[in-house]
Amino acid sequence: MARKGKSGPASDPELLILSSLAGGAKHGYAIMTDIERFAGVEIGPGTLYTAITRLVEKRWIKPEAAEGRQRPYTLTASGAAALQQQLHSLRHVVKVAQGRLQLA
Amino acid sequence: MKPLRYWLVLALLLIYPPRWRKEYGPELTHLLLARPMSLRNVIDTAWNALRQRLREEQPWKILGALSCFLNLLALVLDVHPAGYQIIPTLLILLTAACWTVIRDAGNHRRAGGAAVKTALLATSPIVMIGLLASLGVVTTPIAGTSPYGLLILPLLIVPEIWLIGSLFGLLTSALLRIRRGSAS
Repeated sequence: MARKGKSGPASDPELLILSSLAGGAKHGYAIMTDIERFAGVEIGPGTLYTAITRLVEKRWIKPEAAEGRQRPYTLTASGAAALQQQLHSLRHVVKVAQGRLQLA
Repeated sequence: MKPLRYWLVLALLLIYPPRWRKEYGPELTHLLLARPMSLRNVIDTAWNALRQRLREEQPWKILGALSCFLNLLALVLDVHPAGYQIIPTLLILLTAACWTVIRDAGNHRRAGGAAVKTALLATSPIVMIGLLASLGVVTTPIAGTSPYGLLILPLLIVPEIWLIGSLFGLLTSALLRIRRGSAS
């Protein structure tokens, strides 16, 4: 359950996690607070780890050596490519929507 | 003495499958203990734990357990005809076979076995009743069926179930291949 804040622009947990890790390696708690800060979206702990599990399985992110009970994750090359692809699709949607708004 | 919050986190983690818990358990525990424990967080964690269970469990276990529960309920509530209703049973077995193939990325080898295991788990309450009835502990709840019939019928239909599961597994596998071919 990703919960949108008042100004949350997007709520896909996988996209948000990839965007967060594009800024450098982070562990779960840091990813969560980073997303709250940059997207205004509060992701539930279960949702966060379900998305992390899927991203690790897809090899878009990978866990690094544990620091105590926390384990940082980094974006892989294929993860960065997937993020680029998703951002490209989003830009296209934004462009079309803006064009239609101007016509209306 | 550990606070209530600790036991709640422990209970939530126990809903996750053991393999997942071993991999991500310590991190999730740390996160749950570091954040305020709201009702939303509890529901979110429990819901995602169930989703993870569904993702990791074998389809025959999920469908077999569900059918077993429904059969047990039918027996307890005496809402017969329970036992071997063809269409719903067939649908469940086909679902088990197809789901297994999809989970195994198009490999159909385990589809027949999955259908058989689903059927055996689903009919276990009826077999148990058959066993108790043949020992004279209870009377047969399904009219016109002998206790020994209840006891051995699931075993007699194993070859048919395996065959049906395998055929539908093969069909699912072929459909997946066609779909992949048209997508690429």
